[in-house]
Amino acid sequence: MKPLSVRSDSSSPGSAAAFAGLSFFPLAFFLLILYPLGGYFLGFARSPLESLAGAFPSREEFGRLLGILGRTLALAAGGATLSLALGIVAFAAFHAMGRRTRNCLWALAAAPLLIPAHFSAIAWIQTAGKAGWLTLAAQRWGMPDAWPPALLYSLPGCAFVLALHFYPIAWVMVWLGSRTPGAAAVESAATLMPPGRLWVGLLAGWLRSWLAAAWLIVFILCLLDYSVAELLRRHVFTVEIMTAYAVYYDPPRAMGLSLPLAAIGLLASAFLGRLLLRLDWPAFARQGGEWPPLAPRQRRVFLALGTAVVLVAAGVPVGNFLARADGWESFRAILESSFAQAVASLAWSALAALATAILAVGLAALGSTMAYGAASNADASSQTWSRRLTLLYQASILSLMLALFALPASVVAMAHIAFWNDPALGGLKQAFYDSGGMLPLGMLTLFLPIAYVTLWARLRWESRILIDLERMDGNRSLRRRFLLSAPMLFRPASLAAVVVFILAMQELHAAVLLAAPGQETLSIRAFTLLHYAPDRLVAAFCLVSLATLTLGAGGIVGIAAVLRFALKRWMPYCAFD
Amino acid sequence: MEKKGVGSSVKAPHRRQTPAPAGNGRLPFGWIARLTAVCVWLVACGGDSVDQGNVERRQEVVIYTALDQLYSEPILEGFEEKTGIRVRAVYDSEAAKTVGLVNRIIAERERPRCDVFWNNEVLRTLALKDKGLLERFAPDNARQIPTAYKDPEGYWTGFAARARVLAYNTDRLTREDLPDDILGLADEKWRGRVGMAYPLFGSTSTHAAALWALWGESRAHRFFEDLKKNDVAILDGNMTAARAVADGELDLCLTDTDDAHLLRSEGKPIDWVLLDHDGEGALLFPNTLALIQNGPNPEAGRRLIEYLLSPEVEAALAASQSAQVPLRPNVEAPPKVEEMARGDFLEVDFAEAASHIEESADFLKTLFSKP
Repeated sequence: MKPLSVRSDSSSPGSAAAFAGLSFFPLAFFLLILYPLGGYFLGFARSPLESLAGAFPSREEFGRLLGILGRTLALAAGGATLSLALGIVAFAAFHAMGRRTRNCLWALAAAPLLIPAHFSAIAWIQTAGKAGWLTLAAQRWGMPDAWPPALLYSLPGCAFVLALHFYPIAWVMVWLGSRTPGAAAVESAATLMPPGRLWVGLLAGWLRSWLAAAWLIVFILCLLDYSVAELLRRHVFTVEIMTAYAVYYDPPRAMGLSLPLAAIGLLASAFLGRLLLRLDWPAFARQGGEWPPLAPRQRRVFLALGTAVVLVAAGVPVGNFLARADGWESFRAILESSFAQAVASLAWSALAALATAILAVGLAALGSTMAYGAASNADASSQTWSRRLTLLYQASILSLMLALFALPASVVAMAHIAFWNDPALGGLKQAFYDSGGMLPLGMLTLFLPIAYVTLWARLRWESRILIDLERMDGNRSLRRRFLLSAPMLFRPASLAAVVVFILAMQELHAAVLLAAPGQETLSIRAFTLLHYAPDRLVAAFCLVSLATLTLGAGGIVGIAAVLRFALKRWMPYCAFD
Repeated sequence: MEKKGVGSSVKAPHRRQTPAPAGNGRLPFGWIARLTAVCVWLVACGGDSVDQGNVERRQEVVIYTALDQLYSEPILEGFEEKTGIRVRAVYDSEAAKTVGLVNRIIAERERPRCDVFWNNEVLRTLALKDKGLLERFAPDNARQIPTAYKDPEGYWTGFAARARVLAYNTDRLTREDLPDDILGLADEKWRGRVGMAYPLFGSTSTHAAALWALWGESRAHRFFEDLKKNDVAILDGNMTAARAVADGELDLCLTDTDDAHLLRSEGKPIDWVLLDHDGEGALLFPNTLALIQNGPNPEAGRRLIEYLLSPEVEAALAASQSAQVPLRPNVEAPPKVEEMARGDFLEVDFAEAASHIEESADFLKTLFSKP
């Protein structure tokens, strides 16, 4: 639709402020994140051949590493494909449920993401390992008992555990995609074809890009995760990078080894970025066309399959922990002893995670709003170069964000240490390094992309009519941008804050390297407890931390609701989602 | 005319009416900025400057410790109580695959932030010595420590050791069933029943490097190749290996005393024996303490090292669930630890073992990363 207004912001009185706003985000992003990381990687780029020669010293070694890389890629691809299949099944099952049941169950379906993958893998070993309850049950019932461990300790078994952990991401992507086709289109199509065929058409046709994007996100996550693979005795490529650090203390070699993985991650990110740019994003508040109900038999099948997926993915870890916690005594012991000791860790970690979430959402809101604002201004402009420039700006920021997403946490942390603790550049950086700010900065680097993409996705469906009406109303560009975006971004911002908070609380590898001396981190304490506490206390601790994370996430949602209420009072005329 | 935004005019008609405006229609940016600033400031205060120079600040010392927080934290609290010096610790985690503290010290070499490195084994400390990151210090409390467990040049001091042991599931095996020697693990009888941690990390890599130093390259190669042929299970860590035995996943594993002892004290069906190497004894490897060169609080660092080398700390570690063997004589220890301390132990030249660590890692990663 052509905009009603033809006045471009470049000539508006607010353009200086808009320019300042527009440049703040890239400047902060560059100074805090890109410059430190770039310096570290450029150090490697000065002698890439030497690093590569160190990483791949002989033909035999090259062949061995290629084999491990192939296995790692197969694992990530298998995990992503299986996760997508589970996500589609869960979506279909939820669609077959009544609204009330659906509302009660969605939190349970999303629960696997609240449990660290490492914990899930342990629960699966306790289930299908050689001494797991499933294996022992098979033994008791006179069935062959070798298959559960054989399956679990295999590449498909590992992919299965990863898929069960990450499937909520695929499920959410399918759900978001399902809201994009308009009601009229879906209703018309439903009169022309049976529901099953329409579903196939929508999934295989309309949602193809959404499914591909979901696959790529889970693929990248599986590629970076090595805790599950190591516990299930599969050697993956990331451990080779860790070996270069831990055995040889040779960062250039580690960078050389990172190269193939980073190249694949970046390629996947580039495809993901392209897909995200092309997707027709839904509005959070917009009711898309309701998909027609499937035939009763199909509904029953999906309901059974979906219930099985949700029960297995959330029920196995939680059920295992509940069974092993062995009653209230363990919880009391956790609360009275180790957990009481962990209160400080919890407080600091929660504060650091909260600071990370606020910073990530704040920066992402600024960046995505300005990037999108620039694009919408450029749309109104008659100058082609302006449109191209802003498109380039948008695409570059998005690509850089996605590139960050593909970096291992330890490498990010090492890069930050190398930059911020460098004595050559004086006091301010060193003061920052000595403060407790390094931990939130590291987490921000790792998780800003998630917040950015979430908010940017919401802005993709900014009504052209609203923009033009606000423009006609005479608001200056910066004010107009906030009037339009702030209410619109509230829900996705809350969602992003919850996700970043949860991930920051669970992160371990960067935390070991970046936590300031004396600064407690819950993840280190939790993993120590995981290794050294008795089974029942570990189980109780897992449940307590699950409850803590859920409460923390609920707290953020609550704070967001209060803020939203307050904002609505301050901005009573704005269209909140 | 009252200025009115247009967003509401295109919103769905069922939208709830908002209350009368309390504000001026502008976003409360000030409040949002203040909230963010308070959060960031609170976090930033979590690790105040570790620099010297502020005389009014309470004296402090920074320690990076690879010994688990569970065991090291109470001991560091004891130092704080005794001296009034604030200890600011950074702990490692077994799950971090040791890309942790040693790499952090190396990365901080231009401007060290750590005063004392408390490692739970020897070879990584030697790596720091080789890189010139340690400062010489001969603590008074180290005089009773045997010379085999101290650096001859005074860069590090060992104390409170752990041993490499063969842990077994007591529901499935008795002590008589066990092989007499580490070489017996390659016997056909144990096919698919033995586990060990990935030998590139932690104390398993120390053990491997010690075998290279003790036996030479070809014999060490043969031993690990035989283990591989015998379907040894490679696990995530020593505790994971011990748990696999205690849970009945495996019958035997190579692990450390602290891991096996902890599970035994939980009542799990697990026990262990010292692992003999060709009649020469078992491997005993100490915790090590080193002063970091150009650390921010060297004097407090020296005091902390003296404290950690005291007999009381060795006794506390012996009595803890990690059951560490005191290296100096006449330190009170529980019976199981005393029994262990009476065992035969290998005379390992740790410096020589350290010189083999890359060579052993090159071989072992090739051997064990094959499917």
